[in-house]
Amino acid sequence: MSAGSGIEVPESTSPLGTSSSFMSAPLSRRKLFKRAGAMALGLAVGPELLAACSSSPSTTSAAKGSASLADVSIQLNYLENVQFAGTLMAMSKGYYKDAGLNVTVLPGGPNLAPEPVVVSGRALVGVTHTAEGAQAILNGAPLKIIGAAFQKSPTCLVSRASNPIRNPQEMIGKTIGVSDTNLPIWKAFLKVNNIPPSSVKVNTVEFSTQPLADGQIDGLIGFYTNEPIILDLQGVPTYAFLLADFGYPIVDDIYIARSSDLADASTRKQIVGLMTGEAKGWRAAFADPHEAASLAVYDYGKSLHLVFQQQFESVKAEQALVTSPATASHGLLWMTPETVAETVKSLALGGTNATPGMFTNEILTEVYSNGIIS
Amino acid sequence: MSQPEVSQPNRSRAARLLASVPAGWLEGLAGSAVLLGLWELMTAVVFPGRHVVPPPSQVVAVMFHDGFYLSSLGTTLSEAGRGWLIGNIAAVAFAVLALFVPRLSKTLQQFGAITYCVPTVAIGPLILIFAGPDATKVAIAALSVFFVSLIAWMTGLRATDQASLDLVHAYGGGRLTELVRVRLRAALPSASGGLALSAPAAILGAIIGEYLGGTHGLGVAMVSAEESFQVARTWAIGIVATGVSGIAYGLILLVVRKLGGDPQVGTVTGAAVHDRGARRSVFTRAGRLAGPAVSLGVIVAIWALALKAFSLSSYFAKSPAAVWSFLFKGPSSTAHRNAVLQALGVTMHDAMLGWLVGTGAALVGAAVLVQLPRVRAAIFPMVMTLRSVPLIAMTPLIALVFGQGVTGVTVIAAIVTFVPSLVLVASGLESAPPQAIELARAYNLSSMGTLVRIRARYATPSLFAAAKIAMPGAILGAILAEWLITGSGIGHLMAASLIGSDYGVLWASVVVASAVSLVLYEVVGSFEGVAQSRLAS
Repeated sequence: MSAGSGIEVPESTSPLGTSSSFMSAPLSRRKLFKRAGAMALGLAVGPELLAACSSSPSTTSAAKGSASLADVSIQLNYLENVQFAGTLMAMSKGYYKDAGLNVTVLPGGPNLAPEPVVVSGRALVGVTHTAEGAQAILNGAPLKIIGAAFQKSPTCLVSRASNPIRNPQEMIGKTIGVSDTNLPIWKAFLKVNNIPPSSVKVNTVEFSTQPLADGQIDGLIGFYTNEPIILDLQGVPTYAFLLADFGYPIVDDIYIARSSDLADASTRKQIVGLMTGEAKGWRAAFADPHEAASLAVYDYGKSLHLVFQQQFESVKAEQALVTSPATASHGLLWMTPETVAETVKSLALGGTNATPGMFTNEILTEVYSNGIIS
Repeated sequence: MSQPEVSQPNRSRAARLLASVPAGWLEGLAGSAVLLGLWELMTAVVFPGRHVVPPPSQVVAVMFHDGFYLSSLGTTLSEAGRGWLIGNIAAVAFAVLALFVPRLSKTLQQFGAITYCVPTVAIGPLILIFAGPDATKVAIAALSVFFVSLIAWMTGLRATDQASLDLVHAYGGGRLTELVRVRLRAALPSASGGLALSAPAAILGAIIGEYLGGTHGLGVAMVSAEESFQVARTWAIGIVATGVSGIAYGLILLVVRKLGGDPQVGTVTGAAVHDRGARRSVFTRAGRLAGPAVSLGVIVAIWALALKAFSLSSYFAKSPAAVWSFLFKGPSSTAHRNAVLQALGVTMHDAMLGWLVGTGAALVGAAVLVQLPRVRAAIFPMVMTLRSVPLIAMTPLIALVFGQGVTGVTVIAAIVTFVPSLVLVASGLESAPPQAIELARAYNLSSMGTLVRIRARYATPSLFAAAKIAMPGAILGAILAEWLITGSGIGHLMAASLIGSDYGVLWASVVVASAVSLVLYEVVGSFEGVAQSRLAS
């Protein structure tokens, strides 16, 4: 095994990693969490109270100053790393505050489903995987999909460069690691490429690249922005192809919100503000990937012991997936009728009968009413 | 302030330190050192070039480099500590209630058993909706603690000798005086064992909660390290979690000893209560059925009312009626039932295999421990460490070493089984009355013969007591392993249903898995009773 793996520390200590932001940013976050705690207390009484509690400040948001900021939360579907570079940048640059919001970021984890958190009103907006969100709506969750971070899903098949799997046909006879999260995607992907499920051996893996590095499996369904970079940096050269490039085009990391919150004028305004922050945050992340990575490694995700170089490379890889000709002309996070149609088709292959009606650009239309952010 | 040590001014600090170490720790230390050496050697010989097992030297280096994950540790300990406190307070309240209203005793104990049998990993996402991110971790920790402590307190409060009680009554003391003056004090040995054992359980619960997400915490750091392929760090965090659990356990025991207590870990390890007072008449057998029915009714009522009170969306919050309809009445209930039962079958197979292996190993281990006291001193600390291993932290590592298939699940179920069984069976073997042992010696029975003919007989109830706790434990361990590593079983079904927003399946799986564990607990418990009454007769 490569010497010192696990104690990787980048030579390039970021300017943000030094005392100034080290001290100030975490402090302000701690305050945020205290507020969140106070809010959670109120929440325990019932969802109705949340609406009252979160909408009341917005009526006075005309007045400047932190006292008038509305407290809202965004539920992520994973830990605070650069998968949410837009969110981290929006926090750090104050884009949410500019929109009159005091946003609490709720990190997710392997065992978390964001949809119930949004449906119960604990978070105003959630970030989730497309199939999971669409399935929740199909099962009766009163949610709408109001934007998509990834125009092209980063879901990929990564293999060792020494034993590369270059296309779906080459998976036949191999052992592929698939996490529970990706199982529906996997089934759909096999179907669209006419590969009989029995011809590929599947191992369940959970958020770990070790089995691939050790040769227990030949390939791994992962994120283009994570696993290939992680393995390359650890001295295991990889080959990766996007599922989207082989018959499975789909958006990912979709933003969801309650239909009732879209209908209510004050919560709708907050959602517009939050999504404005997200769009600006993503733009800022691509303008300065170094800072986005620094925020994750040295600031918000400090306890995660992230590796700077991994995070930095991830932001750069994300740019090609989050931006597209469509976002250049309509703005970031936008979902064109074509992307929606492709996504619906891909979801149907996995047994999720989504409809275009689940997706709406109404919030983004308001976000970009004074000019697009791309 | 004058200290007794003043009389020995020449004793060096080190000597005093050594003297303060309880007997047997040196052997324990030696045992651990041998283990570490073997590990280092193994990584060089067995696993070279593999990324699974880093040498301990590298793990220690990362641990130092990362500053022992202090901020993460603080978060996890805060969650675990609050959960531990809440769980124990609730346990004391329940135990006192059971003491004052003996008719409720059985029901309260079953209520505790239900909390023990529910797979917390699966209900975490549901608790989150009620409690929010921080309180959820505390709640899961409290849930993980409750049953262990309840049994310890119930056993302890009953342990009072009649003479002391008579004394209180003679002086006109009421039940409250009796409780405060006599029973609570008498309960201390057993209760402190429960307090200590519940500390690792609370930490495990907090870490399970952290898999739901968070900014700080050992679980959060663990997930991140695992995902970004930092193998040594993954191990380092797992070891820190284990170490802290062990320290918490040891500290509580130490504090209790300092306060003059004599903690009985053996009798409550794995939370097995010996129902010494229970009489096996037809009447109590009927009571055995009525008890669970009442506690189940209470649970179902709380469940239904909570959903009503919080007016949660029915897409994820399934009522008891909805789960019933999903499994038995709805249009595709047959298909649902088959899916759940099939998955359950896989889980039961793996869990019971693990239970068998774990129990077999424990029987051999207990025999060795009783026969060779020196080995016992060397091994026992390690056994207790194993008890403190936060399972969720070690599950992925075990999977990497033993593979992702059945073996990994079985190993985890076996580990869950091994420790309580070993401790209980060992104490059972030693519970043989000295007269019987003397008699065996008089008849020239060898030490081995005594073990087989005499001691084994006295250990039978302990074996059932261990199984009562270990069988549901093995199922829970298997579910956790399936959730995290394998693509089969009811644990996998739960994880997949969460990802697929299919909450009908999730709730039904939780209910079915809990029910099966509970039934096993009750059935084995009745065997335990029979074995005990045979021994007594």
